[in-house]
Amino acid sequence: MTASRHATSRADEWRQRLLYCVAGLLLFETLTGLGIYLLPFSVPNQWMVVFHTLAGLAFVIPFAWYQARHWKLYRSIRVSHVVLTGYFAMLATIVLIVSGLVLTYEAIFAPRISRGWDLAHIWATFGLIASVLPHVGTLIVRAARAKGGAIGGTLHAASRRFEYVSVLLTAALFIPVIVASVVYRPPKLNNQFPKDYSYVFGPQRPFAPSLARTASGGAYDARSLAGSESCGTAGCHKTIYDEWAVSAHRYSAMDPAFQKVQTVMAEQNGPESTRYCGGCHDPISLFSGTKNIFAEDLTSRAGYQEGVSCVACHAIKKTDVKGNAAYVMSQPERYLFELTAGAVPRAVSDFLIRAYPRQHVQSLQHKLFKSPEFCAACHKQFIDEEINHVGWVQLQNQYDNWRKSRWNHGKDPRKTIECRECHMPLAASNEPGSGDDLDYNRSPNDGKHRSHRFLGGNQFIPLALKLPGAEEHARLTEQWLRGEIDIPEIADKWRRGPAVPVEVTAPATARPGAPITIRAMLTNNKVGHDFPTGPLDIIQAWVELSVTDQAGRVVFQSGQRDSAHFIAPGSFMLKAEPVDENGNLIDRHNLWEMVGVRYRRSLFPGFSDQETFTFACPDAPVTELHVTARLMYRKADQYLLNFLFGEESGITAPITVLSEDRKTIRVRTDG
Amino acid sequence: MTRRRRLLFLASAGALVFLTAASTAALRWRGQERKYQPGEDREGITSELARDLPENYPRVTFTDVTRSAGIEFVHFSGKRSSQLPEDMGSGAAWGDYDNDGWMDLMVANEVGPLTMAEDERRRSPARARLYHNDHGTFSDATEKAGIDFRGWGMGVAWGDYDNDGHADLVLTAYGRNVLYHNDGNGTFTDRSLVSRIGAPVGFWTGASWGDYDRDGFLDLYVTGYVKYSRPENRSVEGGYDIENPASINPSSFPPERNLLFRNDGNGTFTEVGAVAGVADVTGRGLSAAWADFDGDGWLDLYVANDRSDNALFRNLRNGRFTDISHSARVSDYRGSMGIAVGDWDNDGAQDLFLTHWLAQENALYTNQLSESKKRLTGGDVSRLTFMDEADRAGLGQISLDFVGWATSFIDYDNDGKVDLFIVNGSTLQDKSDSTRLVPMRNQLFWNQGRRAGFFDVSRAAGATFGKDFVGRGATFADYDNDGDEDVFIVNHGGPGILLRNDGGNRNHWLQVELRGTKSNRQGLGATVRVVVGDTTQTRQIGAQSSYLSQNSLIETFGLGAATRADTVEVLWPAGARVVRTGVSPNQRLLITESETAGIDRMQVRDFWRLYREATALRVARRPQRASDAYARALELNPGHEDALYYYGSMRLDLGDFAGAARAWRALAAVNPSSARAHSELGSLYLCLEAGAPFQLDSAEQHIARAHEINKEETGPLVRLGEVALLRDDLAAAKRHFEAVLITHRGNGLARFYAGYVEWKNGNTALAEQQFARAVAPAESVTPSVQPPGEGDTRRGTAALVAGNQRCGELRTLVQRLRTADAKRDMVTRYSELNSLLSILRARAR
Repeated sequence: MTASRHATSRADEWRQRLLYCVAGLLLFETLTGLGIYLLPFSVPNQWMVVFHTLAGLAFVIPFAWYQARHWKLYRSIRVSHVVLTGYFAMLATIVLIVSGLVLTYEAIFAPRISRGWDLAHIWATFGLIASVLPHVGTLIVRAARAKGGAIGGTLHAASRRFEYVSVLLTAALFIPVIVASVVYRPPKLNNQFPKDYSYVFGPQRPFAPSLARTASGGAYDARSLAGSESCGTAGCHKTIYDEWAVSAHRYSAMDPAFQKVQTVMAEQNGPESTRYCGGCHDPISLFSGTKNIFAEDLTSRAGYQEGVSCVACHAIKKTDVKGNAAYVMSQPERYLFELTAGAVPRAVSDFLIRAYPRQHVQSLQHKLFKSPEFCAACHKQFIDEEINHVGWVQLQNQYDNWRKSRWNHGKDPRKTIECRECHMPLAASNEPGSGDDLDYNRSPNDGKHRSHRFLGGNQFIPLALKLPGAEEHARLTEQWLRGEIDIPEIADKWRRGPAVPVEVTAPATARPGAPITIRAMLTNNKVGHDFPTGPLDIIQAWVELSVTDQAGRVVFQSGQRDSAHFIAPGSFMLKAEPVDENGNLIDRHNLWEMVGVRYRRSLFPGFSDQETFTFACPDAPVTELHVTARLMYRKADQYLLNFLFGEESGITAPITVLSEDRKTIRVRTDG
Repeated sequence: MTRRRRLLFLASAGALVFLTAASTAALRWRGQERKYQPGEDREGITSELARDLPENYPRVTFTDVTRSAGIEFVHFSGKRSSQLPEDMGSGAAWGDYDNDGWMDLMVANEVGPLTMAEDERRRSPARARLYHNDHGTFSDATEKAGIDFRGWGMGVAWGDYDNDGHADLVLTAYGRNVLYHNDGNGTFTDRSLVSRIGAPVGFWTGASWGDYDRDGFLDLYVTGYVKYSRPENRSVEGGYDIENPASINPSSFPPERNLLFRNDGNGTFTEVGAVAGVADVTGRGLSAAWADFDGDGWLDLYVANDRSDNALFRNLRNGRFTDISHSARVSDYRGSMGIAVGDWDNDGAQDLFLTHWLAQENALYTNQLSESKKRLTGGDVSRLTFMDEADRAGLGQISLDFVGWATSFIDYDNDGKVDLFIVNGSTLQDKSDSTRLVPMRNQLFWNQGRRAGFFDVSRAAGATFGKDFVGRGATFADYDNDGDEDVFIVNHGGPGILLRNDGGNRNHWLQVELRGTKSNRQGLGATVRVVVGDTTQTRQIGAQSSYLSQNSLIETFGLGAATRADTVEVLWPAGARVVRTGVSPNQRLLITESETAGIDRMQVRDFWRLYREATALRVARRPQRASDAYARALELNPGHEDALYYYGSMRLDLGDFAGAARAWRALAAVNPSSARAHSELGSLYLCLEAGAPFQLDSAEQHIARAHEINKEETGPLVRLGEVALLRDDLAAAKRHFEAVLITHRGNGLARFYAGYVEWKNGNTALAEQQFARAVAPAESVTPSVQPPGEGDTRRGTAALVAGNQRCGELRTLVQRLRTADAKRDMVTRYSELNSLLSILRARAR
């Protein structure tokens, strides 16, 4: 009688609706969990993440209720492997629930899910499978063995019914996953060139003369490379976004000088030829086929706003060291609703990116990004016959400058300083992107990210465009140019002091009427490549020299600017004078006509250059002469600015004094 | 009489008495009709023009989403002081100032009562506001954009007056108007004074942009209301019960003239209202609409005047207008406020709808152009007439109870017929509180088609139509990019409200955005036709001026159930026509003017083909054929700088000095700051070849000009040194060469000349020094470890091509001297240079 009552109560247990519910949800959670973990990124898999989370939340209360009841009912039972696996399964489920809740919370409210909880969730899943299978399996087998006899039959029937119902429930739970996957239509990307797209270099090279390519060989919808703002506004990469938003990568296309030069190039050399610029300055427009004959705007809306957007760098899969944008762009597969506007779709895609970051990381992170060769794709430039119709001419080349310089010691990270180490120094942060176990001097939890400010030499355009944080960026750029920014992690292998010091050599004494010779010497102390670098037909660095007597009267000067902001002829200047085939100056950045240079004067890393100035020592009552030399720098020469914006605009580039030196000459009248 | 008979008699008599009394009473009762009550419903009065809601009205509603969209705009701060300027504002305008594809919102505002003290005015929260649209929600961008307007703002309108691709903003006011230039980076600069738009002081109301002279630059028309001055004595003499004082009655004040600012194309405007004939000095102007009513491709002008005749000015295509208000039958004498312009009956001609004051019917002026065209052979447009069909179309009588303001034709249900939205609000003061104005409800009319006209669907179109506001301006746009027209309304002394259209996009739609290249950038004044089946919808961009407001310039066309538009046609103000066929619905089309008819495109393609051919021939050193190709390319594009430059080179190569000079002079004319044009001309006039126009003065002039254009360049400096040598001016020559050598110490030619100057000056030691460095191999500061640098070619630092071989005699000879056989010493070489220069000097004389 007791045995039969026991069997009946066991049969009742099998028939518990709560059990069906808990078992169905648990099986659904386990299967979707395994699917998420093991299957590749896909639309159904993302829906599984969504419904796994929802079902997980729905699971908590029924489970707690069931588990409490179950434990109360069987706690006094003799210890057996069934009891042990039961306890183990309970423990695993509790870990799963807690970690699941934490992960859900983090995926909704935090910038990223934590590694520890993620691991706990995965390990507990396998723990659960390992314990719940023998636990339930044994009981099912026992029920099956007991099927002889009326009582045993009831038990067996109840356990069979449990199996059916819970599997059915699990299957039912999969219905929304399937329906959502079938119904969901990702926004259709328009990966097509315009109908009238002009293939100047043949259909195989739609982006030529730029060397940039797409993995598919065809066009990419602008939306697929744009949307940088979403990286910063979901609460994830805000710091990095803000750094980028004022950086040269961001304004590479909206730079008014770029825009104007592009327009002139289109007018003078054909609109398609501006593809040459697009690979590095305006990839979004280039790949969407905007740079085309008859195009009113060679830069698309997104291209203009985002320049080298987050995706434009992070989706590059391959680069070549020949430069001129020799890279291959990919089109990362997006999460559900990632390209759909609206608060709800945005919340879903943000949740998915955080809850299920695998695709995000795999498609947008690459070890390649650390190497100088990656930067070389755009920081090395030349023109060839396809541009100037004549032949190959080197242009700016920071990459090889650096490669051949004293900063490159091959594979020895104790000596070598690479691009990112100076231009992307480590910054403290709570970014989800902080930490790196692949960099030689970093760890996954160093609480730092590489700055995406990319400080360089442009203290002009961010201010002119009034970008957010432009004042701060310009201030930092000026500090950078002067060598005032310390980078602790490379301090032991870099140099100290000004980036490019100027030193004056002058005689201690002079006699009235006699010629005095002074020297100004410049040294490239800290710069990782030539100084100056960039388009040397535009950038200017020069020495402003003045000699005054004890009363402040000017005795001699060089490098002064006139009222129209032009530097006086006969100044010690670092720049280049590129020329066209008739020997006329390339003065409007008209590279399509450039065939060589009259001269180029810039400082290779560790090199010096000097100029001598001679003037007559004035007569009495002069007693002392003060010599001041300042190294001046500006991003754009005045002629170009006049050409671009009109002389009447009054626009001139701001000047930064990079370094300064003073000497005093005593004038001897004692004979 | 038996007892029984007696009883019968008595009963009959009683019954008779009763019946008589009852019927008398009944008669009396019937004859006494109930007393008359004002406003009661009674038999015998009909309202044949009244209409019930038809069964098939669209199930589209407008939902007030102001708060959830993030707009907190309040008009007017403080209490009215019963002065006219306080009551007339304000308007609003949708425009995409940051080109992100989402319509931003500019709202004008009045700071408060005219009696406000200066510091109160400064502190007033009621300022003009710019709201940035971030994917359907708004943030206040006023401060960030640098817009700071605290006055009695009336109208606003976006217009890219300098065609730089960024919509600029004009704001009219009681006081001075303001022009904000959009700097393209999210901020604006006040250009009111520079542009002269801010010069006139007055009571300025509506602002309308339009390119009336078709020069590709937007002009601006500003209506003037009245010459307001506060009446001296506002006390109630004689104790009359004045509810609405003279100070708020426009008839108390003389009318103000209107202003027409012609865009000079250089950032300034010239006021030509009187000259052009549109000053309209007798009208109290409130709004004006630029539209091509007669279909001749030139913008005409309709002006709505309060308490004075309206005016229709026809464009005479010579910068002047003629007033045809009376002959066209639109000189409406009523108090007109807002203007809607559109083709409500889809007959291809632009009709007008005007809102009027209380007890005045609104007017629906249907353009009779197409009817008259049918009647008159040759389409005699001089017979442009309109007919007021308000009553027949269900719009007249129903408006008598309202003071109407902002209005626009919008197809809110996307059924392919434009409907009407009317914003109402009284000018009368509240009897119980004279600081308040009487509020009224707004109205929405559904257009069922030409035959049936319009139906008031307000009570089925959302709760907002059940509320009363003191409405003034309103602007229409699809702010949430969902394919239907939404609206923002400015209410006097209250919150602005944003109404979202819910359900309008159940029908298919198509949006058209224009980008002009020859015409003004935003395509104002362009006509857009969308053909679906046998229905043609016609709109003119920027024509509707609503009241003190401006609608989005992106037009939303309803396609009904149609799954495509058969034709979308754009007629640009400059004359071009763009046609697209088989257009899919539910998208925003961007149509640019350059995608015009085949002929222009062919010309562009031909130009580039010829130009590339010419370049290939030039590089292949075939000057004759290259020159021909350049000449043909220049026929197609006469101002092309590079073509002019290289055409000159080819002419020079062919020995055609005059031809070369012509080409380069043309280049200098196209681009006066072309240093290369002057450098080439300078070289040409220094040319020693037979037949060359050797002129030292001209040469010096051009080279000096090249130097002046870019003083930092060393090229012209060397040439200036050569000229100085030819003039025997050794001091100047020394100065030029030394300047070159400091900047470019490796310039062997300059150093050779510098040595010569020292030699001539007798400084033999210095001369020797310079000479030795000049004839040594080229100096280089480039260390050999360096990788290729800027300008290096496959052949090292040498330029790829030597350039033109002609006219380089002096230089060639000097180079030869410099690099000559080492055995010849300095004295020999400098003597040779000396005699060469003497010969040239003689020739120059």
